[in-house]
Amino acid sequence: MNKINHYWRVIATGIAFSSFGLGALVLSMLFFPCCYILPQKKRIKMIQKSIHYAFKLFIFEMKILGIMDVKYNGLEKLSGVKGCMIVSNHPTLLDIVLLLSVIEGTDCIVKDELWQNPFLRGAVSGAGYIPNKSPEDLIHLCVDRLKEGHNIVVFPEGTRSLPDDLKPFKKGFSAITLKSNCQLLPIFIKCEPSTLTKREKWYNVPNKKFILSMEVNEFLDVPKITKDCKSEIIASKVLKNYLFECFKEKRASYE
Amino acid sequence: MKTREDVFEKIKETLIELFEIPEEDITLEARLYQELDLDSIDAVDMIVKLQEIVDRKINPEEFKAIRTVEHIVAITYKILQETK
Repeated sequence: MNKINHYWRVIATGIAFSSFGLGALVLSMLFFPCCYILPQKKRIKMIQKSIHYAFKLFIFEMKILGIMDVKYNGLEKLSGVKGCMIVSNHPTLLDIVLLLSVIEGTDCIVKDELWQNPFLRGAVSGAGYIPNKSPEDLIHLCVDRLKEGHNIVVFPEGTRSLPDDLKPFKKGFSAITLKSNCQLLPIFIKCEPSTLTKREKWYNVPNKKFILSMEVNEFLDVPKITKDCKSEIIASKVLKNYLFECFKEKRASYE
Repeated sequence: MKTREDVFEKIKETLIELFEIPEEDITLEARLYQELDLDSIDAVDMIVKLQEIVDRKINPEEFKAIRTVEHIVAITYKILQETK
């Protein structure tokens, strides 16, 4: 029985991945181009909204296929957030899908290479996501977006977490938070058993259905955390270290 | 600043002032990203500060490949020699 379930989950994962790719292609070839008749701001809003619903559907599909389950905690804190820096750890390939499926409109900082990815290019450029190119431009762009009331999702590790540990955080998110004086909201994601990490291939499914849990924490009191800092540079270091410790403690408490 | 040692002292001072890195950690061999906890965001601030020191614009491209304190010293020293 276990064996059958294992093979089923390999097949189902294949189905899920293909439908993701297909969905991305259909949206970027048919729907996103149509959105370009709208003025830029409306177009971005529309595309971000459609990504939100597409990802909601995808998460639902994964659940129905029996590959995974999702547990949410503290989602109410996300309702109506505006101009907020949302930071999360990054254990799996699905984190961004999960995050965007619960946050209706948000910008993301995305690695530059995705603008060359045929499946995702249409989405990342259509939705006005922010390419991670030079650090200077990145900071200015993000500060502007936050001031306009956009939310931004960032993985401060810069890439997927290691299976058994967090990677050191980068200071981009903290520098941006301080420069724009925005709210900072940490979201902790856990995947049990670990799967879809950077090292694993998609068909190496775990020995049982995996559970993604997502916990929306309290907004951080940035002024309090950084009150003794002499300069903004030091403050961004202190804030980064503070958040890193928060995530580390969270991780430890789950084990 | 005449010698490489002078430049190193100045860089050290700058790193302490800007980033509050403990003095004993700053050696020529210290790796900026792994050992001194700096990242690309800090590199931007570092370049701004270095420009004040050498009184010249620095192309961020020149900084792409730096990995250790010694690299910063070498680049700064070179610029100072050139502008003499």
